[in-house]
Parts: sequence; C-alpha cells; structure tokens
Amino acid sequence: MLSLRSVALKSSVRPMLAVGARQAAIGARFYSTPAPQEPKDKATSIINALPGNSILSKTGILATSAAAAVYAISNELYVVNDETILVCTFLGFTTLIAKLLAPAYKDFADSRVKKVSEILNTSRTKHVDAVKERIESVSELKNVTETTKVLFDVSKETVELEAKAFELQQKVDLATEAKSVLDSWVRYEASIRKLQQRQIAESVIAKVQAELANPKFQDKVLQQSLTEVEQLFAKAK
Amino acid sequence: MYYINSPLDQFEMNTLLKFVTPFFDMSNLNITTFGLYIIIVLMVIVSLNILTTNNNTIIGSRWNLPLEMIYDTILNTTKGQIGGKLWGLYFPLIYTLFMFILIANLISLIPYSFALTAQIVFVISLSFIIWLGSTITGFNKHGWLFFSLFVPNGTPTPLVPLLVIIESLSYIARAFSLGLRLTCNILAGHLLMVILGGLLLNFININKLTLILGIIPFAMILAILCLEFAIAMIQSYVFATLTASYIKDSLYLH
Amino acid sequence: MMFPKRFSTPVLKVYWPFFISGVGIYALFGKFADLSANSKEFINDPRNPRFEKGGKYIEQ
Repeated sequence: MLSLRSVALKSSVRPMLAVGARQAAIGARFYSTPAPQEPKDKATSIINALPGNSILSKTGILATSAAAAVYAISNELYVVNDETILVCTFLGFTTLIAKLLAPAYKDFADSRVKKVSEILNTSRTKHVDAVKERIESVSELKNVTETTKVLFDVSKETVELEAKAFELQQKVDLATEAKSVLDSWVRYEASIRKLQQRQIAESVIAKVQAELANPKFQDKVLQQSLTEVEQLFAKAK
Repeated sequence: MYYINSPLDQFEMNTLLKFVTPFFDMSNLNITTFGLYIIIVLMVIVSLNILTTNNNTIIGSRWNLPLEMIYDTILNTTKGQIGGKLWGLYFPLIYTLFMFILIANLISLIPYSFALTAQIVFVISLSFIIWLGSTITGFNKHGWLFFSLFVPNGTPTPLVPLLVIIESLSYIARAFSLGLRLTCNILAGHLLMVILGGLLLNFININKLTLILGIIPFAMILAILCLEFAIAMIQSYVFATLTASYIKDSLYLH
Repeated sequence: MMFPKRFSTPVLKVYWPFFISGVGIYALFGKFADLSANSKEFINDPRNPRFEKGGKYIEQ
C-alpha cells in the first residue's frame, strides 16, 4: 500500500506533464495537417515519463517491461483474467489518488506541520527570552558579596561609633554630675561665708555702737573735733 | 497454471508452511495465507507507527499526520461512546481493533491479495469474543443486576416479560450482527468487483468496438473501487464504535 | 530501534474477561469446526485435514 502509492505518485507526475506539453503542440497545429514528427513527440513523451537519466536506460526499461509482459502472457506465466481488470482499476485509483488527493493532502499536511512547528518554535523562543530576562535580572546582583561585605563593614563601623558615642555620652554625664555636685558645694560654701561676714559685720557694728555709747569715747571725739576746728581757725587768722 | 474459476476462489486459503511433527499435532501453527496476511498487517501497522515518527522528533513526518488524526478520532469516539471514568481503560482495545480492521480492509483491496476480514469464521469469532468479553465484564461489575440491561427504563409492568425476551434476543443477536456487518460488506464488495471484472473482460474480448466501449464499465468499476475504499474505512469505524457502545452497555447499564 | 516512552496501562486487570472469552470462543469454534469436518457433507471432502494424516475415504 505504502510503497505502491509512493511509486504511483512518482511515476504519475511526469507523464501528465509530458502529456500537457504534447497537447499544447496539438492545439498549435489544430488546423494544419498532422505533423510528421507527431509519433516522435509521443515516443519522447513516453520516454520522458520513465525514471532514469539516459535515453538508453529509459528505452531499455520500456523495452524490457513490454517484452516481459508479452513473454509472461504468451508463456502463460501471467494469465489475463478478472483480476487483471481489477489491477487496472486499482492502478487507475492510485493515479487518481496521486493526482488529486495527494497534492491537496501534501499542502494540508505541510501547513499543519508548519503550524505546529511554528507554535513549538515560538514557545521555545519565548522560553529562551524568559530565561534570558531572568538571567539579566539576576546578573544585576552578581557583586552581591562585595556589597554585603561593605555593608557589613559599615554596620560594624556604625556599631563601633555608637559604642564610642555611648562612652563619650557617659563621660559627659559624669562630668555634668560632678560639676553640679561641685557647684552645689561652692554655693554652700559661699552662703556660709556670707553668713560669717554678716555675723562679723554685725558684731563690728554692735561693737562700734557700743563704743559710741561709751561717754569717754564721746568726750575723746569731741575733744578731737574741737582741736581740729581750732586748728582751722588758726589757719584762717 | 491457476485460473480463477469462481469468484469465491479469492477467499480460498492455502497452507504455506506446514509443521509436521511426530508426537504433537502442531497443525494449529501452520502458516496459511491467513497467517501470512495477519503478519503483513502487523508489519504494516508497526512500521507505520515506527517509521513515521521522523526518528522520534516532536513533529512526525507527513505520514504521521493521518495516524494522529485516526488516534484522535478513535479517542473522541471512545470518549463519546463509553464516557464516564472508565473509557480510557478500553481505548487501547478499540484503537487496536480499528487499526487492525482498517489495515486488513485496505490491504485486501490490492489486487491479488487476500481479504482477512472477508473470512466469516474469523470475524464472527472476533465479534463473539468481544460480545462474551463485555458480558463477562458486566457480570463481574454488576452481578445479577446486569439483567436490568434487558428492561428499558419506564416500561409498563405488563410489558416487562415481552420486552425482556426482545431485549435479550437483540443482545444475543449483537454477537452475530457486529461481525456479520463487517464481513458481509467486505465479502460482497470483493465478490462484486471480481464478478464485474470478469464481465468486463468478456465484454472487451468480443471485438474492437467493445474494447473501446469498455471504458464506461471500467469507469464504473473504478467508482465502485472508490466506494470499496470508503466502505473499508467506514466499516472499521463502525466496528470500533459498536464495540465501544457494547462495552459501555455492560459497564454502565443504559 | 528506540522506543520513545512506556506507559503503564493495566492490561490483565481490565481485559481478563476478553482473554477468557477468547479462549472459550476458540474452543467453541474449534468444536464446531470438528463437528462440521466430520459431518456427512465434508467427511470426504479432499480439503479435510483428516486426509493429510493418512485418513481413508469413508463410505457412508
């Protein structure tokens, strides 16, 4: 079935081409007398229809097959009977299939195969693109170790600085504490000194006033002031 | 010297390889024409499935496409006929039957070849095996409830005995009808073509005028051959579809 | 030859009724064939396999 059809397909395409060419020749010479080279054309068309390259091999095939058929029939190797008709009809059927159905089927199958392969190819390219995109998006992170190292260093430094700052803060706190304590001391001492001075002043004033109240002193001051006044008058004289 | 005398001679079987054994009778293993054609069909199916895959690439060759289409068609048919959850289990059987019958039918249409599916005993026993197999499946699955298959839904009670008789008769007739439908079509087609061929040969041999006039009946035989190709495909499809529907009946009961 | 893929389809589990019926129908048709071969019509038919095993013509 398979090989028969393919063989029929192969062999049937050529003769129809040749026949078409021959028919064109007939059409051109339609009103003229039959051309003398007509049988020769026919012979060449038959010869062209056969497989093979050289004319010798083609005519050889033709002659051998004809001789084989004649020999087979005359020697009763092949008996012409009912099945012969069926062979002819089968060959006709295969040529019909090869001429009419096979090209249409070939187009259909080719388009179908093309469609499927296109779908497959587009999906493959899509996949490749997706993978590439992903690679690109990932490759932006390719120096991630260095970045992390830097980040780690930075964080380490931050921690150290924070520790230092805390230390300094504590020092500052201690200093302010000490200063406030010392200030309070200073204020205390100052207040005490003030108190002492006031006491001293008060005692001195009290003494002076007690001195003033003493009559001997009053006399002494009076005497003294009189002498001064006399001196002044003496000067004025 | 071998003349075809009767149109039925094309269905004659010859023994090609004989087993002559002293102790055991091994004549069952003789290769006859039938066995040869079974082997040819097997080879064709296997090579169709292996050679067309384009060396296992994703896209097969042009020859793979019809195989895929056949597979798809039978898959959908099985799904539509059997349905339910179990259809997938019976798909291999139905696909195998379809492919076998299709290839056997197509090979039998080549002149001088042998028609496997025109052998009544073979096809009838095939249909008997399918029928009995599906019946056993139904009994195994449903037990005595299987007999509810013979009472159609919504039957009036007085009609039940009559309908049971009719339904069981039709059920038993399936065993014959499934195979007869296929084998009679193929047998009749081959006989018709051979008889017409003989008539045409006689007609051609009368004189030169009838030789030329013979083109008309020749074209008719050609048309009948095309019809035979169509029948070869349709009958194998019908066989597969009916097998699926019989299996469905015994799986799901209605 | 490389086979592309294997599928584990249950064969015996699903198809055993068909195998049983295959064996049964084979036996049944074999019996029918024997009956028909030994019937009056075909007992002396030259195609009867009986003759290949040295069977003789049977007068009836």
